[in-house]
Amino acid sequence: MDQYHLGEFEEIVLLTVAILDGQAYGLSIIEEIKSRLDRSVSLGAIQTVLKRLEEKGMLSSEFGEATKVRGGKRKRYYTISTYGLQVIKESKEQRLSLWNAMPKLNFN
Amino acid sequence: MKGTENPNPPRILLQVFRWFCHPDFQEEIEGDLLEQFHLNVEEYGFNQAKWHFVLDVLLLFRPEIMGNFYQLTFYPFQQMYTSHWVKLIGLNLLFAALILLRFVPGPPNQVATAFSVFGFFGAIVGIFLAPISIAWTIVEFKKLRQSNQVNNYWRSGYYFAIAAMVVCCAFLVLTLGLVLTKGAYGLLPSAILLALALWKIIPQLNKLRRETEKRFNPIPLYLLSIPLVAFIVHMSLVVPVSQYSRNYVIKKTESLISAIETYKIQKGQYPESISDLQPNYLSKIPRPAIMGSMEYQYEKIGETYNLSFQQQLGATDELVVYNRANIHNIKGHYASFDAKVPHWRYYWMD
Repeated sequence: MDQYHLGEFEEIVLLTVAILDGQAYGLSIIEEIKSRLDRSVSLGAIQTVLKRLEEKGMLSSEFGEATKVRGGKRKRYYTISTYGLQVIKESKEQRLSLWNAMPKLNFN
Repeated sequence: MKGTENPNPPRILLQVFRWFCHPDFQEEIEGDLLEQFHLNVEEYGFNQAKWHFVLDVLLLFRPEIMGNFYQLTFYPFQQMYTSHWVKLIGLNLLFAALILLRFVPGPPNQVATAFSVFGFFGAIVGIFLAPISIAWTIVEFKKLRQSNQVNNYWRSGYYFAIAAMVVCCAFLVLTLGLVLTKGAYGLLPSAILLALALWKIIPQLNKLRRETEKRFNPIPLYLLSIPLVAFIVHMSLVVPVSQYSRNYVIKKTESLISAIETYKIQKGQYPESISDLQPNYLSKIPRPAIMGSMEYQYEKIGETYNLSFQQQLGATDELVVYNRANIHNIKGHYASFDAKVPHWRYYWMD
């Protein structure tokens, strides 16, 4: 099977889900990305990527609790799967190898 | 906190979201939307939070999140049993047949005419019922898309009760009208309808009010489709079918005209009444050869005569007139046409 190549935003979402460690749901992921990267993302963008990554088997999910502010609707918590972890590790290694392969440039 | 004490997001936008969102994702995304809205109310105030909400909903309009259009549109139809489809098609065919019954070749038949009027009137009532039918259909479609914990299936019972009441009142009025104008002939369709009402409506109403099972109810689809199909039949078929029946009767009238002309040749003048043709010229006075027509009308006018018959095109009466001298002087019509057969014209009466 060909390896799936993560997009930049997919990688961010996957990493954020891993950081939140079992507490990742739509809104908490948005807040985390905003606080760590100072980047605003829409609920639509997050949900789209979450569904796609879950379909690829990189994330798994289960329903959590319902609260009053959510109109009695339950949260869906996402956790990173073994395959997801493997994909981000490979992605990190590929980038590192690219960094390492770069000749020392004089930025001055 | 700025804004109101118990803020709620724009209801219409929430409804739009519920419509387009895939049912499997609806709960969690709606929860996220509401939580986001409440956070925004605290941070920006109610008015700005509303606009954020609008933007959030619009940005959710993505292929991965939307239910596919086939599912959105046809999912309820997949819940219909074969018997529902048979009833839906059968009822529509029945109403179409009833509307066209009066143009069918055959001896004039008052019961057929009464049935035909019922069919036409039923389609008209259906048009007035359309708002209820649409609202009821939406309830039925939504019922299938909501979670199993929500139990508001009894709503179907209320819509059914309103629709049944409107239909019964309308047909009661029509029955009275038919009995007054067509006598006992109007009673047969009424009796059949009453029997159907007692047999079906009351038990169905009780069943719907106590409904606890999530199941699609096709009755509003019947109510919506019947007037639509009846309208299409009326607009597309009544004109050609009435043209066929008109020409058919005109052809069948040749023997009567021939007898009148023979009478004139032998007696030197036209008969005062067509009953004068019996028994020497005709053994029996014929009647127009379509089910929805009445007797021939004959009127001697000086040295000529008018021979006519009537057929009904929905709300309009069509008078088809023969005058050998081509002196067509009929009053009370709003349109007249050449029947494309020598000496015949037809009139659409007020």
